[in-house]
Amino acid sequence: MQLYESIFIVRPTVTEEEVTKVVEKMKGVVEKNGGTLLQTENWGKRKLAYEVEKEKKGTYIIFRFKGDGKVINDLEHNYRMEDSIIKFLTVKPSKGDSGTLVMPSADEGRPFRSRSGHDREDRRWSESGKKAD
Amino acid sequence: MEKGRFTQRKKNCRFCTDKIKYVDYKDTSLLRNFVTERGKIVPRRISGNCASHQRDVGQAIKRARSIALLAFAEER
Repeated sequence: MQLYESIFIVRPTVTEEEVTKVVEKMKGVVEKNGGTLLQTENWGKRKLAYEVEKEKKGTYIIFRFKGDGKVINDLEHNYRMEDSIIKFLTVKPSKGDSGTLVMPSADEGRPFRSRSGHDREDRRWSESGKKAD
Repeated sequence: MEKGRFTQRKKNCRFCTDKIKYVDYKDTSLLRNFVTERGKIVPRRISGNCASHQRDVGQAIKRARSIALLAFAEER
């Protein structure tokens, strides 16, 4: 038995009830394979960092469960079969993880700004005679 | 004593000082401190992280990118 964390994104065009239906279905998959769900979290509709299958937003669902490797096989197979799921990720959280499933803040945060100019894509572009933008 | 032009104070790994063991890929506000405006991972010599924490940060950023929490490349 191993602790896993599985996260998947449901298409934003899918209605609330259908999202719950998908979540219930996936819960069933975990339990059918002898896994025990510890936590489930719905982050709601969030903006994606990049476009996925033409969608700019998506509903994030996070599962945390204990189970064997075969749970992952079946779960990911079901993710692929489900058309409303556009992206998924399963990881083994390492030791020291507090297990909090806090939703990341939607704000953009403060991007790193280099004073030493080491992020010099634009410089390289201009050096080669092309415009930065 | 004359200081060289490139003298820089020693950076300390902020994860070691904060005693953080696990870098969570879901914590985008933290990870955003370690990517450039363009979305690149900030190198260790700039971020000041110790080797093991830099690896953790890199791993977390790659996971976050894979699940669309962080962008692979930010448009300008």
